[in-house]
Amino acid sequence: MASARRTRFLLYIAALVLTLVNLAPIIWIALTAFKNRAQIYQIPPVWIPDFAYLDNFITVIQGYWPFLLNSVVITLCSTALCLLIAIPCAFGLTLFTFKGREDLKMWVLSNRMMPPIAAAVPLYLAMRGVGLLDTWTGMVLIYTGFNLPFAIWMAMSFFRGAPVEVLEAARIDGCNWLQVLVKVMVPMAAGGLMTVAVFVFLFAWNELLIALFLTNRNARTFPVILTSFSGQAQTVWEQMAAASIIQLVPPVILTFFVQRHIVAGMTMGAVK
Amino acid sequence: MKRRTALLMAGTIMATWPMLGRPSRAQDSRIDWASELGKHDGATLRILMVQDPWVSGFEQLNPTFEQITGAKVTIDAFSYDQTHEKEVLEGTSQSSQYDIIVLDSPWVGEFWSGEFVEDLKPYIEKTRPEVIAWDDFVPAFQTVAEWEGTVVGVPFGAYFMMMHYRKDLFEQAGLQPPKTIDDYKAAAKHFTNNPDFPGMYGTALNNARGSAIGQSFFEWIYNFGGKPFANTVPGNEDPYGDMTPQFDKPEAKQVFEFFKEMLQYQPPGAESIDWEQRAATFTTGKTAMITAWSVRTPGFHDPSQSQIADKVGTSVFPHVEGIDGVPPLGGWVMGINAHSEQKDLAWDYIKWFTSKEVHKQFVLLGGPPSRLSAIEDPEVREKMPWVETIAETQKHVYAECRPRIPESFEIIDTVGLQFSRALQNQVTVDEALTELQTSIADLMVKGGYTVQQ
Amino acid sequence: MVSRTTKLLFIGPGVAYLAIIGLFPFFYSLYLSTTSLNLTRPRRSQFVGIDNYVQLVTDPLFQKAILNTAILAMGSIALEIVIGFLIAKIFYEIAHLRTVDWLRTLFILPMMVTPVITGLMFTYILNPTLGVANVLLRMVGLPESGWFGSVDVALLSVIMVNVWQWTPFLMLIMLAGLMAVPRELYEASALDGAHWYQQSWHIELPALRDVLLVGAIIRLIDNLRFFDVVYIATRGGPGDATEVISMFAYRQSFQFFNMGYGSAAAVLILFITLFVTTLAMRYLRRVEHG
Repeated sequence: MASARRTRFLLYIAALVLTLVNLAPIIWIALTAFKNRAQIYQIPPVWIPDFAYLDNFITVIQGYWPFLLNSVVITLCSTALCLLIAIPCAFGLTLFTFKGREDLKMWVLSNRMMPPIAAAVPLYLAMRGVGLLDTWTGMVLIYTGFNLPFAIWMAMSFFRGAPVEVLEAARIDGCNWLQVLVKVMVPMAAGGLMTVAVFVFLFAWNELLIALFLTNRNARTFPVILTSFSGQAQTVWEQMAAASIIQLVPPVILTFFVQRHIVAGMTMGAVK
Repeated sequence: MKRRTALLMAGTIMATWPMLGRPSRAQDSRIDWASELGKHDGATLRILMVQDPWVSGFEQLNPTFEQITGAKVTIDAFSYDQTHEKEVLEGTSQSSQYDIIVLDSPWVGEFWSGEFVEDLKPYIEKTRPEVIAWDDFVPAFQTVAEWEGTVVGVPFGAYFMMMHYRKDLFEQAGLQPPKTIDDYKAAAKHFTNNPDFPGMYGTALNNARGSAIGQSFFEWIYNFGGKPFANTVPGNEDPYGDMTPQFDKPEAKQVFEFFKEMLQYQPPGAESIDWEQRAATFTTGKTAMITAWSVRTPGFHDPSQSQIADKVGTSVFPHVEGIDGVPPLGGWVMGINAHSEQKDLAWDYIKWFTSKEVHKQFVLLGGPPSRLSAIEDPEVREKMPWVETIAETQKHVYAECRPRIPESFEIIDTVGLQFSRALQNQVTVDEALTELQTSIADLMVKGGYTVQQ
Repeated sequence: MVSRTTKLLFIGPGVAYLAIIGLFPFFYSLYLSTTSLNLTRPRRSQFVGIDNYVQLVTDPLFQKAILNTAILAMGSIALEIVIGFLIAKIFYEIAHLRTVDWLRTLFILPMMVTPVITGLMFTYILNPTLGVANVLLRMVGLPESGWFGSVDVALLSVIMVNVWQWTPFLMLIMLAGLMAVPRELYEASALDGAHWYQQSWHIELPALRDVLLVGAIIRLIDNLRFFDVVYIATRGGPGDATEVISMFAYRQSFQFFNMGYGSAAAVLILFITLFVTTLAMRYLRRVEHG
């Protein structure tokens, strides 16, 4: 037993080292965010900067907070709307039988194959046509659509794992299907749905290509801002680093917040 | 073989559009802006531009304009490629979101043929000559702003490519700043792997695939005595009249081979160096000299951005012995969005911002000097001694050094791809040049230009 | 026993939404791909039939882009699976220890990183002259690398970045798969005296097959549209060493504004994606049913 213990201890150290190595690039950028312009290119590098030097963060937040707000609003709204549409759809596709169901499922998934680069031009023209270019509404509608296939597919995998007897019992108790979904299925699959929400949130929060073409000022999202720190004449690395760290805050917090659900959710998704 | 008619007669512009306003280089009395500019209370003027170092100059000057006119000015700045993308998309969607479009010189033809920008000639004609002072703009840059007999934008951000070198190191080595390309090679060799200069490399070039190396070709070809197209040479009245590519000529090959040869004098990984990294090798003291656009020169001298701020010297771009050099010219002009709903306000801003008086303030805030009056201004010279090199450089520049036709972006990128492949030994120099000769000729034929085959 | 109306109310909105936002761009791109439209010369656009496609398949740069995308996808996914599995094993063995949840969450953080940031971050870190990667290599006495700038290692560098970001994803789903393997199977094989690698091969891998296939398909789709990192870090260079298909389509559509040619490339990308994934899904379904 002692040797097994030692093995575990060594494995634990290994995991620790691997994690540190894996995080090193992010840590390096975090350190960079505290450097001034001259320190950026210093060789040998400044390993530990002065953490009291917050100018980069202040500059970025003062200059770009409206775009941060855009990102928050667009991401949250599209996540909510996406779940609202995806959950009933996944529920129906899992529990109701009808002709062509399997094909419909496949078609839903095939929408996820659409390369954003192919959708960019048509969506640009469509949004211009209905006057939603560079608006919150436009971006929410598009991100919702982009995430639906994933959300439906993923939610289906969680619903499949639910015990049918419980659902049937609820039906016998007189629940209609909507009540079955809301009162029985959603609570049962809450962990999994949480995971779906997190991923949908991340896709929207991280999306660049569509935002690049469809927003200018009013709805410009933070990832677009990130690319603008590098111009032909100069790259403001220190501000880029600070902005990156700010951009990473919500995903990191969210990941910790739902860490149990991510793994639990994944287990449910993987096991039938 | 196709003939493109009635187009691209840059030469005739000069003839049909004589001297707007008298050459008035003498000190003007100050302009009374309150009466010169309209009142635009409550209006918001929107400008789309590139995120270059001078954006902060705009931001510092704008409050004055806001105070005079009552309008609010907002600036949206993007990276280089995104600026091009945005401006074209805005233009093709006939959006009125932006009033002023800031465009790079190679885009002039594209933006005019796409009908994205207003012809500014009528605006200039109705403006008092001493306000616009057109002749005071660097002469070649006046030409850059013109297209097919129209004015596409008003100059404000002329970039000149200059040699930047380390005064201390050149003195220590007993070398003069390079005048010819042979001097440049010799100096680069001298500083590389030299125990007297540990850790130093001779130079860094713009080698990265895409616009970086693509533009490099156009920067160097003239200084090897060559030309990219049959008619694009200084003095030709019809520069785009014959677009037969010249990649099969010895000079083109010399440029390619020069870049390959110079790799040995550059820091490791030089193949991916672009504008930003080239500058960084210099400001961190890794390279003894680099060529760079004058827009960066103030930053090189600024101790907060450069470790060698007090050691920078500038000189004119090198060329091969025995020819007149053509230092590269680039830079930005301000046009009015053809679909803007506030064209008067936009013009008020442009004439105010580009006026001698405001332009000088802009230059003192780090903006690129684009007017002769600013280049010669004693206060500017005092604060920025390198402007003397600009004064010398501007006499030799050529407006068409990078083509300004609508196909420019694609031409430069195509050249950039093949140049980069040759540099990386993915293909031989001859293969790359043969490939280029055909593909650029095809592109030109498709565009309806004359090509001799 | 479920009424048509109920079915329609549940499934209808999602399907309708997808039909609008999915089908419209597809058909519009299809239409554009049959024209010679260039946005900056709109007046000269005309119908060209399948010319764009003919030109595309003979375009050496597009061929290179397909090849690079294939190498990128296969290289990345293979490495992610192998490395992901080994790390999943480690986390599986120590799963019950305290603070491991935290460690695991820290480990998977890279997959949460915005791809734009991944690109910017590694452009900075792998900068040949000034980046910290070469400084570290020098400190331990290894030869420096040109990374994104050197034609031989540029694509490898992109793969490395890709693996860094997405190994946690495969690790996570394989860990979930491992957790679901019934304990008794291990105990039985342990009694038989099997080594850990024998257990891996005979018990774990078969149990992970489905999860792996799902993960691999998702990663395949991602790789076929791989864009942000290349867009930021290499732009397809040096030479054509990291040219991938979305970069190619992007350049045609949004840098040269050759919308016709660019759309043809985009439509081909879509068809390639559909073809490859349909094959994979067929297989997955067969596994599911049998």
